[in-house]
Amino acid sequence: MSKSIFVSREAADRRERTFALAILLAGSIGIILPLLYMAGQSLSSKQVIKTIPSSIIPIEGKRVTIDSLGVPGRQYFVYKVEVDGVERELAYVDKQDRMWVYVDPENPTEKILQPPASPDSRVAAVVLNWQNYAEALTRSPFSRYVVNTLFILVISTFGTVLSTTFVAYGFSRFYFRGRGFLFLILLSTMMLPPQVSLIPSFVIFQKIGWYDTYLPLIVPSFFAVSAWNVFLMRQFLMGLPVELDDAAKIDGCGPVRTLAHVILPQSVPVLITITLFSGVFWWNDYFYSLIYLQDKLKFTVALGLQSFDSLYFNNNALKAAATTMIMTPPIVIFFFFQRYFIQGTVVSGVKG
Amino acid sequence: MSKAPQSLGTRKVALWGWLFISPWLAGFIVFTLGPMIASLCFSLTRYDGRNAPEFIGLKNYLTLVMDPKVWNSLRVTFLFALISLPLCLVTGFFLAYLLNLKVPLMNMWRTVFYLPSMLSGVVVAMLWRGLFDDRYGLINYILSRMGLDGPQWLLDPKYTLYCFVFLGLWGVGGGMIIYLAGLQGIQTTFYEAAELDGCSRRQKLIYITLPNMTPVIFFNLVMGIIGTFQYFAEPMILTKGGPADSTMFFNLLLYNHAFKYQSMGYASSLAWVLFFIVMVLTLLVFRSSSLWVFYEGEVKKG
Repeated sequence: MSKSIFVSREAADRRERTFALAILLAGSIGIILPLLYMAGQSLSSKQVIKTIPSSIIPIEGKRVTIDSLGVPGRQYFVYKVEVDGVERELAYVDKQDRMWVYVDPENPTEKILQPPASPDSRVAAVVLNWQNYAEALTRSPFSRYVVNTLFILVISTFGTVLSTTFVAYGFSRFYFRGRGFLFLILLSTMMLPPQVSLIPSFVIFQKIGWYDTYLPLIVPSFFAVSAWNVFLMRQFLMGLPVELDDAAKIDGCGPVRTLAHVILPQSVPVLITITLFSGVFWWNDYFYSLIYLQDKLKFTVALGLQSFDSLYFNNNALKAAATTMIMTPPIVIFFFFQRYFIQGTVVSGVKG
Repeated sequence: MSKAPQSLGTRKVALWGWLFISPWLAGFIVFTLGPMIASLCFSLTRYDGRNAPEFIGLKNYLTLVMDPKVWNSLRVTFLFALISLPLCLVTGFFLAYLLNLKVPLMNMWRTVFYLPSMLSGVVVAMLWRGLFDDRYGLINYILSRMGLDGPQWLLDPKYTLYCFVFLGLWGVGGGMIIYLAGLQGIQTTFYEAAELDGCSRRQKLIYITLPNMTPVIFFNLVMGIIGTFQYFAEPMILTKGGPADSTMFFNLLLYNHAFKYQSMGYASSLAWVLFFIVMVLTLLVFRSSSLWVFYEGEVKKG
């Protein structure tokens, strides 16, 4: 009796899993498609993008150069042409009366006269226009933007890691009156909309001459302004055994040396997580750079991409190339370190 | 902690504690608390950021209540939240539930779905603009293949908001990861007990999975509400609030007043309205949480 139930349940399980796989596959295609579409456009020529629909794979009419015709480097389209009942792939090289002159690219000496071919009969080929990338790079100082962004990213991330470590250490290992209350305030700043402090901060930074410098982006990082990071690290430190601290204390270590020699070596995973999140945040940041930076040469990648977008609004291939370049680093970083990103997100969400 | 007399040792410990948290404390006062108070003061003035602020009492708030643009952006933001948040919540939960069925290649699916969370809002906007293009875009091509005539997504005020719903749905993986971890954290003994009692799949979902997931859902809901009021980069790049203000999210309106029209006083009053709304909504969710959020280890009195 129990066996039959068991079997049917297993069958149901399998059905359910197949259903789940189908949904997940469809969903994944939906996630990946926009990325592929962008990558495809970045390699397309202008003509390809203006076909309907602009295809993901940049397919164009096949072109060949035939140097023996006297114009080296000139490209000729290849058509499918029916000659004496046999379909051949021939390059259209010239007009004669109302006929087109074709030659076989393999054997260019023989000229074939045939009626004009329609554009539909062009031979399709995948043409990757890598020069879009080179062109995007020369049209706009993206390398400069990358350097600017990395400058902000590295210093801010350093400040974040340093200050977060100190503050989380203070909140997790030392008892003082008002600690619980202060930690509650820290947590509540996670829910505080930043707009309520944004405008006066902007005015102050402007008054002290920090407008159009990187200081408003960098300096706050040294003051553990991200409550989320402090929370993450404190959670982690609370999980470390206090016995090791005590042992260090007995050995005569002060709090700073305990932090450096006992706590930090054990905290590498959470420090990596914070570094990665901070790095990706600053690579992607748009809002703060938009508010504080004015000089085009000081722009970050996100800001540079936006200005590129409005400058070359009708050149989708170039914009796609620029976008692809800017979205690639976080994706690559994610593939290498996804464990840390996922854990970080999970800790904030589940234990929060 | 036992109440020991304040010895030299505990005082020293406290001093170290204060020292270590001092960067945050200083930062909180200088970059959060101080500006918050200043912003409250600004909201009572007419201020262009250059000339001295001029005190005008509650006039900004009165103007704001009468300003149809403010009401419009509130309508846009709330409408978006009402459509997008439940949709993302259900989709994210559903995907996490499917992943948790021990499907093959689980890590791969998880990676793929989380990928959009890595991207800048600017990049996301650029990615989707091509897809939404009414002539050359992929979406309308697919619709035309299905025999439907796709609209001018980003140009027709009837449809613009749905573009952003689409974008939000694309980034559903961030929430999904959290739900998945929540699901994995539910004790298997619950399910084993339920199986012994002969519970069906659906019963297990309704009586075990969902109640155990309510804290996570609750957290995501609160963060989602707050996030909607921060929504900025995508509408800024894709529509700049247009057409006809149909995507003028509250944060975009605030940005325009503060940094485009230089009316810092009015923008500050908008910021405080935003703060008030977010606080009320968060409190409402928190208050209602005792009705529907279940914390493990909590004994129901009754």
